[in-house]
Amino acid sequence: MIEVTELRKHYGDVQAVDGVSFEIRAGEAFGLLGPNGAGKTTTIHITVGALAPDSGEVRIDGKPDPTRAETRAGVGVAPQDLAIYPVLTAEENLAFFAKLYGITGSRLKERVDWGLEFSGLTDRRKSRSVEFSGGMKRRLNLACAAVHEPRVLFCDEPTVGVDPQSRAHIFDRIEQLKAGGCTLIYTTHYMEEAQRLCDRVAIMDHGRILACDTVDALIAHHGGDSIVEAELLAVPSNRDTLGGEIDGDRLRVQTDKPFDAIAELGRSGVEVGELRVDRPDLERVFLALTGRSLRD
Amino acid sequence: MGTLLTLAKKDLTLLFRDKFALFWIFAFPLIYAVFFGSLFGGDDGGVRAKMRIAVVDDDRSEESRALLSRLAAHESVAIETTGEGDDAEPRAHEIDAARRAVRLGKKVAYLRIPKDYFESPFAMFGGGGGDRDRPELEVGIDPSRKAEAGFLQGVLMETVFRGMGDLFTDKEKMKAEIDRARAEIASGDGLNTVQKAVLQTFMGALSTFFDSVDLEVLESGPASGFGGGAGGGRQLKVVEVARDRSNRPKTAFDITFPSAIVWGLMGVATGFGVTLVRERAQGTLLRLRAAPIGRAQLLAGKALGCFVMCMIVMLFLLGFATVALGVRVDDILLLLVAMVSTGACFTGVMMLVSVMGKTEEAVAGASWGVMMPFAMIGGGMIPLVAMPSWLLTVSNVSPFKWGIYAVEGAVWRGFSFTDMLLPCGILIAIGAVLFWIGVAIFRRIDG
Ligand SMILES: Nc1ncnc2c1ncn2[C@@H]1O[C@H](COP(=O)(O)OP(=O)(O)O)[C@@H](O)[C@H]1O
Ligand SMILES: [Mg+2]
Repeated sequence: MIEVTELRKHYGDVQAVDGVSFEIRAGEAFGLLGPNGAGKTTTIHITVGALAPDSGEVRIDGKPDPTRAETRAGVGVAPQDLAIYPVLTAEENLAFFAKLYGITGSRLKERVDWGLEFSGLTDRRKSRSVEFSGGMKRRLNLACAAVHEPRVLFCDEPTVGVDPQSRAHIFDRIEQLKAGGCTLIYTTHYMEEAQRLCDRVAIMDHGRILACDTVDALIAHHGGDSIVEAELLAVPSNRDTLGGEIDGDRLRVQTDKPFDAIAELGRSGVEVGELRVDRPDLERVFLALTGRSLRD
Repeated sequence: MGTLLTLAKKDLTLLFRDKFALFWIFAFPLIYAVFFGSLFGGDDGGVRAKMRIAVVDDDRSEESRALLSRLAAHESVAIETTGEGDDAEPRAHEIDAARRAVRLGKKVAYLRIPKDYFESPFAMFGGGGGDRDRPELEVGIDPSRKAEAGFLQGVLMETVFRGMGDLFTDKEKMKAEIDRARAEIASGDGLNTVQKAVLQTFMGALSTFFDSVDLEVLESGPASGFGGGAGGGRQLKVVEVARDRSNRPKTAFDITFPSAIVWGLMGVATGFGVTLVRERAQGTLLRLRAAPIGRAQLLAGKALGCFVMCMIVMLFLLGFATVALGVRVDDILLLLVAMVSTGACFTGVMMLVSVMGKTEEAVAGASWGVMMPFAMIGGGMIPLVAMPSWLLTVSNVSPFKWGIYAVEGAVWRGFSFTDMLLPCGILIAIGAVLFWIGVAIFRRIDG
């Protein structure tokens, strides 16, 4: 549905996007995961046609040039920098954006009500958004992006800087949209979000995509083994037979089959206090790919 | 079109919620206009001043001179004899000069006493003889000056017939009639406050007039002798002298309000100009660029909003001046032409202003900084009518001058449609050029 080929964009000396290509299928949730400054936002802006790339091509539904009006009509964007008018009320913001997409009359009212419900702002509909908390603004920002029922929705860090409650709310609503068949492009530097929501994830750093696959495949390829860590209440004499390495009273076993390792531990008869299994995750994938942590 | 309206409406809503901008757009110009207007005498140039009348005495008789000296003594008129009054023979150019003076608005009217007027046996008796060849007093006045014409009519009749002894006019009845009219005006709900005020003033003047002069002399009331009606009124002939308008401001507000308009428009241009960078900074511009609207539409929406706001400001200020301060507009249609052109010009100014900086502060600063000098030399500070001629020449480079000039042209300068073409053409040309430059720069920034 969306094909992006070899996008490049620079600002002065900074190569913000450096040859990015990916493909998104209809109905899937696609994650762009990377630290701040990786080039996610720039990539999104180019893909929705709000920014011209230095080179590269974006095709939506097989058609080049995302700036064409009929292409745009089916696309929604919730920018990272809040794109709502502070002095307009929640209702006015929603109505304004809906009207830009040609929605009028009773359908306008219907969509505005939908947006208020979606953002949980129905009882604040007449309040100006300047009075809202960060979380409420984010929710409204997202509702304004989806008010025209786009087939594709770009969410650029929709949960950044919001309270846990709003975060849960936003997450719920995005999952709802996904369940409704909306294609999602989701950027974040929170790997749990990408892991939970996205069918496929592209790992991005320094303007490049380092890997792109399903979460499971990424972890399988780049995440490495699980680590089983056990607190030994008594250090056994036959410590070599346990496998792994012992550091004081801690036993650490690196394995791709953590349950087998635990079973083995049980069979060996050593007394174990605390037991921890550290499964590989996208954080580890990122670490493996870049040598750096996602949380800079 | 729907999108344009949506965009324009949004911008107008934003502006109307910006108290700071509103102050500069509405409050400041209004205060400016009212304050300086009152300072420089407000409405004293109006009907209260003496009526300036040119007289041409072709008769040059004892009687005619006596009539003129009575007229000169009247508190409400100032007369001026054109030409060399003491010559034995009248000169043809005198009447031409008088007519021209009326046409140019230098005089409200002219009075011509024809040769041998006082020779006529019926002159002193208000006609009645049906003698059609008898010379008549000639009054030349602009037909649109109805109030002045009415007033002058009374003055002339009174003066002409003074000393004729008591005739049969019922002064008390006349006064009662006027009082009844005043009461009717006061309670009349078909009239707005301004109309009421004007009529009350006029009736008040009439009433004073009847009080202060011996109206008993009027043979048949002031109305019947005027305009060459049948029977009683052959001695006075009204000649319509279509005026070139007065070409002079009637009140100080005629000057301060057009100037105030440009200050208001400056506020609009700045207020709208900053919205573009504000939208860029707050991220909504990017959001709009991702919506199915082209850049042209986006800018057209801004322009439309700005233009509408310009019109609102002009309507507000001129409306206030008209309703509350008695400023009279010569020609509403031409005013509309002037307003549209001025609005278009300042929309262009706004477009250029909006790309003069990267932050709101920079744009606002640059906007005031660039426009202020133009406003000052263009009539925002020193009224055009008070400018020395060199400054008037310099002011030609300022769009403010042409805006003020066009509005004044329709309000009191008495512009014809052709006169209006020059300032309006210049305004639209300036607007178009600035708009084009602004758009070009915007496209460069926008990438
Ligand atoms: N408008 C801009 N002007 C200059 N540099 C920019 C601009 N936008 C982004 N950059 C730079 O481009 C790089 C990528 O930024 P961005 O796409 O915002 O990353 P992300 O969204 O992943 O945090 C960063 O180094 C950033 O500083
Ligand atoms: Mg970003």
